[in-house]
Amino acid sequence: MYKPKDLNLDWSPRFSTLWDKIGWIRANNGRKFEPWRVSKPFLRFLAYTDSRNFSRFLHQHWPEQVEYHDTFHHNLPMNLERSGALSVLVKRELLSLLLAVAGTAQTTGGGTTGRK
Amino acid sequence: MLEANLLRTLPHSVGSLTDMRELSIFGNQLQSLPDELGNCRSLTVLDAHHNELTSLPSSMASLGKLKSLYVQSNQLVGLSLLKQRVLDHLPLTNAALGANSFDLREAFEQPSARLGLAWNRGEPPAGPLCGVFTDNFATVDHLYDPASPGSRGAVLMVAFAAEGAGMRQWASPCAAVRGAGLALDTLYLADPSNSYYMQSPCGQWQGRSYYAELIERHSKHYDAVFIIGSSMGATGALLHATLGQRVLAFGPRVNLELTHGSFLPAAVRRACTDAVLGALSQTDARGAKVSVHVGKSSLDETLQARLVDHLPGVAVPAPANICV
Repeated sequence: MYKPKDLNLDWSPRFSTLWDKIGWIRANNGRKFEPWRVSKPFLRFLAYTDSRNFSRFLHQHWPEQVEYHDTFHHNLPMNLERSGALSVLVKRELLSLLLAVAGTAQTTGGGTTGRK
Repeated sequence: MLEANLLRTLPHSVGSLTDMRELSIFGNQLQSLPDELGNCRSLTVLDAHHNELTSLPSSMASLGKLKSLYVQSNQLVGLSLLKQRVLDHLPLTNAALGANSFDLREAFEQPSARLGLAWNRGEPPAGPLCGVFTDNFATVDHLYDPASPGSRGAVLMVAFAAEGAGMRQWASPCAAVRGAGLALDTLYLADPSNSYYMQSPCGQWQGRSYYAELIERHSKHYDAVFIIGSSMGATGALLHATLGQRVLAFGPRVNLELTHGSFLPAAVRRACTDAVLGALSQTDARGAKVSVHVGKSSLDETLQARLVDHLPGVAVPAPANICV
C-alpha cells in the first residue's frame, strides 16, 4: 500500500492531489455501496473503483492477467528513481544507442562519436 | 466528473457542494463559472481546461484549499487582475494557465506554485521572465539545454513532460548521465494545452507536426537521438518515435478513450492512436528500439501497454526485471 509520503511532488503536480483523490473516491463509493453490508466479500472491490483495487481484484482471481505491483501510473519513474534504477535504465539505453550508432558508423566507414 | 459534455453553464447550486474535493468540468463549452463556486471550500482541484472561459469569478479567492488549478485552453484575459483578485489568495501548488489569451507582459512568478503561461499572447517584458522553462515557471513550451554551451554533445535527449506547467521533469537522470561523463544535450518539451501533444499553439489539432518540426530543428545535427517521457509525455514520445533511435516510455496513453482524453474530438483521439501505432510499426525496420514500462498494478496502464507490445522492436519489460 503506498502512502502519501511516497509521492514525489517533483514528478507531477497531479501527485499533490492523488492521495486526496483516491481517498475521496473510496469514501464516496464506500458510502454509496456500503461494502460492510455486502455479504459476498469478493464484491467489496466495488467500494474501491480506482484501478489499483480493481487490478488487485483481478489479480486475486486471474493472477496471470494482472500482477500486483505497488506502483501507480505517474509514479513509475519516481519509484525507479528512488530505488536507484532510473538512472541505470537511462544509462543502459544510452549505452545501447551509442553502441548501435558506433556500429553503424563503423560499417559505413564513419566516426564513432554520434556527431554530425 | 462532468468532463467532455456540452455544458454551457454550471448551475448555481454547485455552491451547495461544500464537501466537494475535486471538480472536473474540462472539455465543455462553459463561458463562465458561477460565483457560488466560491462556497465549495473543500475544493482542492479545479480541472476546467478546454472550455470557453473568459474570466474566473472573484469568489474563487475563498477556496482556501485549492491546490491545483487547470484552466488551459480557455479564452482567459486579465492576468494581473486574476492574480490580484484570485491567485494571490489561494494555496496553489500548480496553476496551469497556458493556451489562453493572457497578455504575457503581465507575467509574474508565483514562488510557491508551478505556473505555466506558455502559448499566451505577446512576450514577457525583456528580462528574467522571458523565454523561461524551469520546473516552476514557463513562458515557452521547450528549452534546449546543451551539456556544454557552444558545443554539441554526443546524444540529444528529447524529454517530454507530463501534464501541467512546463517542467524539466527529466533533469535528474540527465544530470546523472552527464555526471557519468556523457555529453548529453537535452531538449525539454511541454504541452501547455495539456492535450497529449496533439494541439498546436494556434489552438488547432496540429500538435504532431508542430512538435515534429520542433524536434527536427534541434535533432538534425545529431546521429544519436534518445526520446523519453512518462504518461502524457510518454504519448508524446511514442508519437514521435520515428525521430529517435531509442525511445523510453513510462505508462504511455495510447488509446485516449481509456484515459482522460475525452475532451479531444473523436477524430483526434483516433489520430493519436493511429499515429503511435504507425510510428511504432516502423521501429524494427529502422533498427530502432522502443521500451515501454508500466506499473503492473494499474489496469489501465496494462491495457494501454498491450496495444503496442506485439509490435516488433517494442519491449514491455516488467519493472521488477530492471537490475540496479
